[in-house]
Amino acid sequence: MLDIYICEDDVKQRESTAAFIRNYCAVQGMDAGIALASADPYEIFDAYEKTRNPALFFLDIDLGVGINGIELACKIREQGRIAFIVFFTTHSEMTPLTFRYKVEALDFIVKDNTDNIKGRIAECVETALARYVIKTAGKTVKLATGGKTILLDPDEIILIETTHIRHKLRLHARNRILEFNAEMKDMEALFKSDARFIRCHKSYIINKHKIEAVNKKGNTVTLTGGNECPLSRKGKRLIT
Amino acid sequence: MDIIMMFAVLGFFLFMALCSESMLLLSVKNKKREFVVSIIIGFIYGVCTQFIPVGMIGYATAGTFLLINMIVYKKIKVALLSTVYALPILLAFMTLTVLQLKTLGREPFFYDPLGAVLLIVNVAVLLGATFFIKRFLKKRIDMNIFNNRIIHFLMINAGVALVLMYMYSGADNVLYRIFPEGTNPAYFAFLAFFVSTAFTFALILRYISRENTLNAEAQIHEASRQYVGALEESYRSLRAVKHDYVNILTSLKLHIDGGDMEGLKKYYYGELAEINKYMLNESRLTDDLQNIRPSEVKSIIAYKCAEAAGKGINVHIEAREAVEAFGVSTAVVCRLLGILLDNAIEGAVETAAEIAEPSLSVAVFTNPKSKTFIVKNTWLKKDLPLSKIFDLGFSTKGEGRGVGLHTLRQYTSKLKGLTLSTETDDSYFTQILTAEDEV
Repeated sequence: MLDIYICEDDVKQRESTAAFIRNYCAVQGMDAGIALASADPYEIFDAYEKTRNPALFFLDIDLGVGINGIELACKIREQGRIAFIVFFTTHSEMTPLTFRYKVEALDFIVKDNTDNIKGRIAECVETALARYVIKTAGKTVKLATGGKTILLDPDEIILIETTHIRHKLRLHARNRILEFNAEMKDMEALFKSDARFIRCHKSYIINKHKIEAVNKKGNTVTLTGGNECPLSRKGKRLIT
Repeated sequence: MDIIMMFAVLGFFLFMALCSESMLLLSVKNKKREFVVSIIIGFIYGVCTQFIPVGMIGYATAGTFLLINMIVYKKIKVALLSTVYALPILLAFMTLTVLQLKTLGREPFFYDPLGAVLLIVNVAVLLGATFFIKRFLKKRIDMNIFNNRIIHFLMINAGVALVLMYMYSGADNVLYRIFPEGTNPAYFAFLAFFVSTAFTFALILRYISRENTLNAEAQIHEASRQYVGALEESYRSLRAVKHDYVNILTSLKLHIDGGDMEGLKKYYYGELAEINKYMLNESRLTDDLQNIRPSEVKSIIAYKCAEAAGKGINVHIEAREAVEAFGVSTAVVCRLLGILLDNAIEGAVETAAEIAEPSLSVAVFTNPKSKTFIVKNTWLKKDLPLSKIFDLGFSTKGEGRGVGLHTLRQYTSKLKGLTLSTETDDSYFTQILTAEDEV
């Protein structure tokens, strides 16, 4: 069950959104429903804190009281549970990069374009539901790094390497390179149950499935994306 | 005396070898390659001493060095730099060999076959030893201390001192032979080689470091100037808009008075929408930037964004939260932002031919314990592995263009409190720079 919360200070907009979602979920037979629609961000947060359900939030940016939508989203993220956040924004409040990278917002809906708001809301509910199914199927790994959580699909990870700075690791995935603060042994523990990941060298954890070639004499391996990793003696045994 | 000298040379050598760890532009993960190169050089040098007249040895060696480095690294700049680093190491080897010969009671000359043998043995043993010392130290201390400019200068001084000590100690009787009889020009050449190597080394390093600081200062200065210019410009346009405002109201009134609904619509959506859009963007650009307190950072963003806009790129800035200070120095943040933005502009310009609207978005926001900068631009997806983009000299545009991203990676690899992540998809290239509040 996906709980849907709406935080919007304009009564008319709040009610029409809630009515639309209620109707949409019922018609489509979706496993989702409105948990709370309110103008008060604190009320929304309190309600969310009490439950354990995954949630989808539709938040207005300018809430007129105390905190704004982005701050509320930050508080929600601090809980560290599965939550999807969608912002209602006007054209002048639109900061897509901040939405996406600060609070990992799922999407944002521009209120100024009145014609397709409903279509966009429906899209968001569907995406959230689809992602929720993937996430609960245990197909992601969670990297907790200095107050931020990054969710990754292990299939995408190619390798994790050390840098010159202690505690700073660099992760190479298919389309991204991430640097974050963690220790190699924590990473090893994180991937313990996953046989794909092996620590082939003191400074490297690699994804076995991404090996393209074991090089001459077997001292290094080449991975997808052209990364070359050295193998320790123990690593050589792990690979064969 | 000779024994003391020998220890001094050994100490110097170790110092040099450790400093060469942080050679400015070399890929640090290829330590093994450096090691092999040094051994080959030592070997060739040993052979050279047997066949080349004394006066030419220095130049022959420098040439060989350069040649081998160029073959191995395939980049002239890198080859030059590594040669500069390697020469003092070689000097140390030579001095050591001469001293050893002297202790063994033989004539301290390289003509001696034993000299060549000793040299090769020294190279092999000492490089092997430092290789293990480095590995040993790496586990225990922060290798960053060898990356300090002061340490490099110390090293140069040590080198010069060593050369002087070598001459005055009379190990080769150079001074005695030059001044009392002063006939053999070969010794002058040898002496000149020692001194000039030391000086060149010192000058090159000084040049590099000075150029870096000057560049950074000039960049920040230029950025501030541009920022002030942009502010003045926006003030002027604001005045112009104020003036227009009255005219706009008048024409609206005319349409209303005449009951001309069609004309009003046309006027509003046609002309006013354009002006609105312009005003919105213009004011937002400067409004948002007010939130960034460190003025150097503010100006570099403003400057680069203005530059991008001038090149026909759609610029979007997000900075809604107050950003006060960073854990790392503001100058470093400026330098990194400069590189990120330059790179993004270059990437976006490339797309201008393919995509209707090349765009550049910059976002700055705060997290509980850090600040994040995001630079996102349109790019032409390269059919290349992502990890290659950070390699030295890599650029799709040929020689000498990929230095920026490499420098960036070097910074984030060696500085605490900075992380750089990269994300790409088919049309966008996104860099996420995070600076922690406390290092």
